[in-house]
Amino acid sequence: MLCVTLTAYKRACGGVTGGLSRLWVFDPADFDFTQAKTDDPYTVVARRMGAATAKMYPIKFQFKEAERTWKQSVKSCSVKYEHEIKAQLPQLSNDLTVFLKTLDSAGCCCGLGFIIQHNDGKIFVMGEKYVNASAIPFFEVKMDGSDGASGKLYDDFNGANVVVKGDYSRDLYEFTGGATAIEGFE
Amino acid sequence: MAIEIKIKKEFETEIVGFNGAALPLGQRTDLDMLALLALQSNNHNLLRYFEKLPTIQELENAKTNAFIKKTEEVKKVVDK
Repeated sequence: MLCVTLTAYKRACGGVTGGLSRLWVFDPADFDFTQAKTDDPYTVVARRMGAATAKMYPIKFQFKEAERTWKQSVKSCSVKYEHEIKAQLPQLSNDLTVFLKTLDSAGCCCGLGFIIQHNDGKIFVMGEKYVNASAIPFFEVKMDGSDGASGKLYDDFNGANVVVKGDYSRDLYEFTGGATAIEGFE
Repeated sequence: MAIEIKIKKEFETEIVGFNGAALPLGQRTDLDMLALLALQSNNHNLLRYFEKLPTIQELENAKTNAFIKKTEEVKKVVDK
């Protein structure tokens, strides 16, 4: 207390599940998240002025083949969180080529935003740019390190392993407005 | 007593995602919650939707009154 105000970490006793359920990508310049006070979860997502047609684009990945990871490190007092999402997208196709091209372009120009629903129901936001109608420090997320293969045998994997990465100063904030609130923007 | 919360005409079809839904604002029945969040966060992107906004205190009083009313109704059913 004399140095810093710490908080407790508590959770109701119960099991927890791993893995991702759903994933959406969005243009971070299009959406604004609401946070009632610092470090609260996000409760509202809305389009920003001038982004009337902006969408949240669902990414249909291979079930049980997507994961969100992060790694924290510190040098002196400077903290870094390396965030990563890996998702397996089945079937090499023109649609996949176009999708990957858009990720590359967006990553280069303005960064990517992701909404990630875990199998335990929690929803997280990665790469957001606007909170309470104000620009937050830049959280740049881009596709980096993806690969793909046709496979050799009939039952080999055919598709892409998409990897997106972004460094930031903290872990991700939760969005508590529910997945249906996100689906409304699809 | 219900509080009057009015959305500006031009935002009645606006989609806003909160409280587990993303219906257009003109169809929502939980605008009191959006109003409270907009006021607490002072988020101008949300505040611009409202024609008329009560204060945080009025919204919280209304929430408390609604809870008391519901509790009394439940008590009546249990007492029968």
